[in-house]
Amino acid sequence: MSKKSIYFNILIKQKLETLKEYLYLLKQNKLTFVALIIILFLAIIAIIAPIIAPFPSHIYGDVNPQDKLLAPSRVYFLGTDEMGRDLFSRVLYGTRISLLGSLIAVGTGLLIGVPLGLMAGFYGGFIDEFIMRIVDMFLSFPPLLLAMAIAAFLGPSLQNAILALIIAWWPWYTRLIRGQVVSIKEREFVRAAHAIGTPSWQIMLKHILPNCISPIIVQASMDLGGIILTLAALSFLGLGAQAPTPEWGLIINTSRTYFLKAWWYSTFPGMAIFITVLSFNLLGDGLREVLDPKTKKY
Amino acid sequence: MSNYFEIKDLKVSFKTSEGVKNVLNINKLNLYKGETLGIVGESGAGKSVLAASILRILPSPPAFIESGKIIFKGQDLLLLKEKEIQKIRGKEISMIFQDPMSTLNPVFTVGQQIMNVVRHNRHSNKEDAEKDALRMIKLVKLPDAKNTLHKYPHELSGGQRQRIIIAIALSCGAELLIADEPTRNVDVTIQAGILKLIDELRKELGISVLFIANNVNLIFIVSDRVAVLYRGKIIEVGTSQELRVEPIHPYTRRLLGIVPPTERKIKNLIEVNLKEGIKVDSSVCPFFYKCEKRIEICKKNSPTLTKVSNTHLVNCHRVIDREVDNESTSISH
Amino acid sequence: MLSFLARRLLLGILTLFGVILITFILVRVVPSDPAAQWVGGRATSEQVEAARKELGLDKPIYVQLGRYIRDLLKGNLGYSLMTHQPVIKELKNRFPATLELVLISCITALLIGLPLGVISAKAKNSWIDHFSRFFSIGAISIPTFWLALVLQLIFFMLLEVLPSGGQLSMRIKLFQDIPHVTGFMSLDSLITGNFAIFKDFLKHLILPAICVGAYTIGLVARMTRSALLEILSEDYIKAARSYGLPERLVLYSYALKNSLGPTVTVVTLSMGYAFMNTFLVESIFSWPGIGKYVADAVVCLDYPAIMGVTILAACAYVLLNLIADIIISFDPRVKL
Repeated sequence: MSKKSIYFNILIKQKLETLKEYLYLLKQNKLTFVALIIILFLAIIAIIAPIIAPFPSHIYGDVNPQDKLLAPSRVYFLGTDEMGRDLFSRVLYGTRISLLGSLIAVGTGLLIGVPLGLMAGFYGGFIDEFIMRIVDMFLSFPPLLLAMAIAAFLGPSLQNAILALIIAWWPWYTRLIRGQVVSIKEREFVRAAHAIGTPSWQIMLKHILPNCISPIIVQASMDLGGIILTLAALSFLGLGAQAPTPEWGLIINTSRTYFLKAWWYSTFPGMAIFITVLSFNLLGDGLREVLDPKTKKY
Repeated sequence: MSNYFEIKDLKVSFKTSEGVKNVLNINKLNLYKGETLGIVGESGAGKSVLAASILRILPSPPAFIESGKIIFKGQDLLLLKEKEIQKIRGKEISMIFQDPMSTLNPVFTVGQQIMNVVRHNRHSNKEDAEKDALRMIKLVKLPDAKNTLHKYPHELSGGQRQRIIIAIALSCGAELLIADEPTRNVDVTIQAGILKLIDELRKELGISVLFIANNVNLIFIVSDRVAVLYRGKIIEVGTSQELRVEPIHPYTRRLLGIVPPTERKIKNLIEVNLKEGIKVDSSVCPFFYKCEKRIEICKKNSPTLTKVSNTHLVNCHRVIDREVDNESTSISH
Repeated sequence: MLSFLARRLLLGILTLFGVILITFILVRVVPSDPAAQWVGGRATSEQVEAARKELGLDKPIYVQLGRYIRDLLKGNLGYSLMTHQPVIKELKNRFPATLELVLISCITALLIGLPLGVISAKAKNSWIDHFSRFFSIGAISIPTFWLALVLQLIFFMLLEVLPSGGQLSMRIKLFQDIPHVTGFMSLDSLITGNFAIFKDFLKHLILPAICVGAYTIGLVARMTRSALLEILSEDYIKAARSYGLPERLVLYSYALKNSLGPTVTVVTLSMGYAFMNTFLVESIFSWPGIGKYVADAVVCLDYPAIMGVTILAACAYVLLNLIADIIISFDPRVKL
């Protein structure tokens, strides 16, 4: 066997070992496992929503005034809204909007926040001060307030709401990763890489980043839930998605006018939000138990 | 003389992602009153687990004590309820740890920490506790006791912190001190001071010491008797003198740097293990993998401690009761 | 200590200035025309021009910024476009109601969440721990506005035990003298000994308080648990146990004293999130606070109002963080 293939075998064995360990821990935490299943389920729904919705035309355009505000029945599983649209179809489609929106927001936030944090931590000095002052400014507010203000000024729309969320969220990642970088930077292997002349960007990407990725993974998975919640809140206030988009928060907002007469109108979209966000939070929490070396159970 | 402190058939294991791993399997270990017993072994041999098991402060999950007895002054410590073992901790058996910085609470002054222990273990009031604290600080030979009382741990040096730890541990009249690698994180120059202190205190206060370390020369300096721990098992025990002059177990000999077998020899041994699919478990000698002196019986069952002299026991198949296989004692190999 | 305070204060002022600058820029970039907004939809172009002059919008940008800051320092936040009242007056009127709601909810949430977190950490992996973890994660997953609606449905519509909104019932407002000492209804009614009003107030307070506090309880419980777990895994805790110190002392004295930092962070964050939740909850419960004001302002795009609230919020946060930093500095490990 050549040296290379021996190393390769050992590498595969190591990866399998870690995978086995993770699966064992995940199995121990059954709640997390369930959460993962639910999320996969929701993702599938998001993808096939227009296909499985019983009344796909109700999602955006069609209005059906004779069937307005009907209680849940066999035809309309979750009832109808004030325009006679099938609530079930709209809520189903809302999954797509929420999941996609939060993916974009979290993804972009990471794309902005992580490199900035890496640079701030690695280079230190003026760059660090500058970036972190800006970050501190953002971080003194709870994200909703900030997103609200930004969305208000940008003009209410779904895209602007997502943009506002990106702006409000990236500083959290920067601070998180900067702290990690600062402590890893002093470690021997980084110094060694430096000493043999590895270029900075390579050190950052190949050596430092992989070692601080776990808190980011935990935070990002919980943020996927948090952003769905905030996006819904923004739409609820009128700052996000606009009619006739079937965004969950917006549906709840419109339902307020009728909610004493049509309890189903407010209840079901909210339940959808709750289940989705709960699953992401459970997943994030479970991941934290698995990935955090301090709470590791050997 | 005997049965002051005795460990019998102690089995401690850990629950891991790969099942239950047995980390400590001690058949018999005695500590006599007034002596210093040294436990030496490499990292992972189970030394700290042993120390923690005695005072029952193992992190429980994932560790758990499967079976065994730890008899101290006639009482089995493993059978005691939590409240009862609390009475033993600090007052009869006390422990000092490896890292003096992390063992001290950063938000209390060192004086407060000593006083807390004294107040709770002796139910004394504030003034008496303070007097005791001052006395202990002087006992561990720290200068300027009055001012040291009010200092925070981060304001002291490593050596000073370690002395404070010793002060806290001995503040309530413990008669058995477990020292878990107390000089590992301390400079070599300070190390001598700490060891001297422990020895002096031992004579002054009449305590017995269980000294744990991974440096075999250190162990010989401080201990009256030495036990060698390998992979959770005691593989040799005897007086300092005996082990230094006449080590018998192949592992002990390797520890002492008596010419070890070559790298190539060990590699061959391991390859044979892999080829024959031999797994190290409780029915095989723990040192089988790397032992250059192994014979057929070594892979069939685990040896037991056999007497070489009244004080010297070895855990090896090649040692026959009261006789020693001539080959293994000849030092030139 | 003094230099530490000075540094923190400077940072706070810098943050405030940053916020002011950003809000100012955003307003000028906004698509709609404040002047046109001010005079309403049917104004003629001369009226719009006149309004523009009146609002000072015809001056160059840096003059506007200068004027704005000068006004701010004088306490002038402009006029609310929807009510045509000075923004500062609106805020003054409505702030106490929100503050009262936030404070009461927060204190209750802390009283429930902190012990829950501590018990969770102490009894790790027991059924209590699992239950409270699930409960806290559930609490931070519920959309606050949805919770508000559902609670109203259950307690107002279905069970008819609690009112649907407002601070006090109509009946009380019409027939009783509302006490006005501190501006806080709970305190005022207690001070003047008017228990009928107090009881009525409490009935109106319960649902909003639950909604505002729910997220906070979950947050507090989780953060306390993880902070305490981290502390409990430290070596000095193990050492303290080995000295024979009773578990109670180890937990409440040794461990808790080390948790000053995380606890302060938790309290600060929880007040922040509670405040955030009032924006969502007040309109649903017609609670006469800033949240409702802002929710309405957002709908009609009343920018002076939005800006005013943003600046108010910024000041509140800077102050809160400053207090938190001062408290943390009492930890002996913190280098001033």
